[in-house]
Amino acid sequence: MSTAIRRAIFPLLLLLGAVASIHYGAAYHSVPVLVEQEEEVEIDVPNPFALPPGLAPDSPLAQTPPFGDPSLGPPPFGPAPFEVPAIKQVVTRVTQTTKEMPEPALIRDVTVGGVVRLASGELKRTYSGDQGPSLCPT
Amino acid sequence: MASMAKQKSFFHRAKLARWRLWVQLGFLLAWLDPLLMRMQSVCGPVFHCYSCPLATFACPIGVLAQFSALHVIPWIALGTLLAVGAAVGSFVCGWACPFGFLQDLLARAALPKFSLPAWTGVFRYLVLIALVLAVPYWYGEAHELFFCRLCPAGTLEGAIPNTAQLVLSRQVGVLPGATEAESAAPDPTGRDAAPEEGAGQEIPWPSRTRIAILAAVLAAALVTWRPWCTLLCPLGAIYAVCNRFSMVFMRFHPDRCRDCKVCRSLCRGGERPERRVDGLRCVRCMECQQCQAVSVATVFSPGEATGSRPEIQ
Repeated sequence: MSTAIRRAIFPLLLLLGAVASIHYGAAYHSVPVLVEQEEEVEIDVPNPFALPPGLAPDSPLAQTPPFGDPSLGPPPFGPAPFEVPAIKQVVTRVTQTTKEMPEPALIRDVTVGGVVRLASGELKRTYSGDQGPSLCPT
Repeated sequence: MASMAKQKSFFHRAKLARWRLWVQLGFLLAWLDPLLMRMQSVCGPVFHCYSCPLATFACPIGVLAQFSALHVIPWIALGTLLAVGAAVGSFVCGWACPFGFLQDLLARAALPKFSLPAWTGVFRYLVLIALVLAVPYWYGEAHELFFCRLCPAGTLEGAIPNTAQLVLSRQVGVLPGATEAESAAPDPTGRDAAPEEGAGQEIPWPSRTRIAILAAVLAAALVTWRPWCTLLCPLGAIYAVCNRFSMVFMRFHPDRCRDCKVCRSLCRGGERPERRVDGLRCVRCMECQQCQAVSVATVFSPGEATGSRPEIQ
């Protein structure tokens, strides 16, 4: 084996290892990160003008015949004279899930302080949504 | 074989150092994100803060420190450093690093110069082990001694421009990073933005420690050659180790040496090329190549890897 090749083996092996390291980091390495996701959901809020639950038209009390006699039919006062619909309200719900974050994305996020390590040892993304912080915290 | 000899003679004849300024300028343009690609997922090989508004790549030392704080192995950053180190060693420091380029420009000031003793290069390993790896690992990135909180390159390229941007945006009434139209748009959460909300945003001024470190490094660069690189740079510390086995290296030819000590006088890093041509403080600026006993070689070049004249005092 010539001197040149013998001398080149070590740096070539290191270069090969470096390329393998980059490839592994870019293609396979990922870490679990707690991610908070915000989603807008529509919920029904009880109307303050609605009948109390015990007096609602579909409540057991309203279905009970007068004096407990079934032959008398439904109560004479029948269903409630008016029905107040519930109020629809859009709220933002925050859910926390664990996502596998690939290393290139992690590099991008740490450059702006987008990922921190909690005392529990878990990694957590510091922002929700797609738009990360614009500046490094340091 | 003939081509190798030709390559050797080219390296020896061409005084590559005279092109260094232009090469540094070219690399500076590459690091300053001329195409606005903002490839922050990719680790760059040089010391250039990723907080800089004009940074193309992520700083490898910043990534090492941040990943140390997260207790995650940075395979990409390690691979990048190892690949560049194994290929060219600290040529990156001398020819491509923007912070080194700045210090080179400052060193042109006509002031009396003094050189630091070679042993001071050991401090770089302390910085690497303590501030880049240990402090983030044990205390997290919020600690005051976290490397990025002290880094002069980060102060110059990231903290000062970003603070200036915030101050200017406050003066013109536009939130940072937003166009005027975006600032005028209603808040998507439905809140009525208070008129003083943008103006009242706290501006994160760089700490006095950071400013003091930057001022000290820049002032020192006027009177000594590359004080940051030779004394404290953790990236230079990594590449300096790689100098010992990189594919491209500096070669000393004992048979051509005439004991003139020209190579020693040319080395601004305080190295003694006739004893060890790839010393720990060598950034491969190739100034010593002006001496006929020193040349650039590759592992495929014929001849011994290096040589020395230990008898020269």
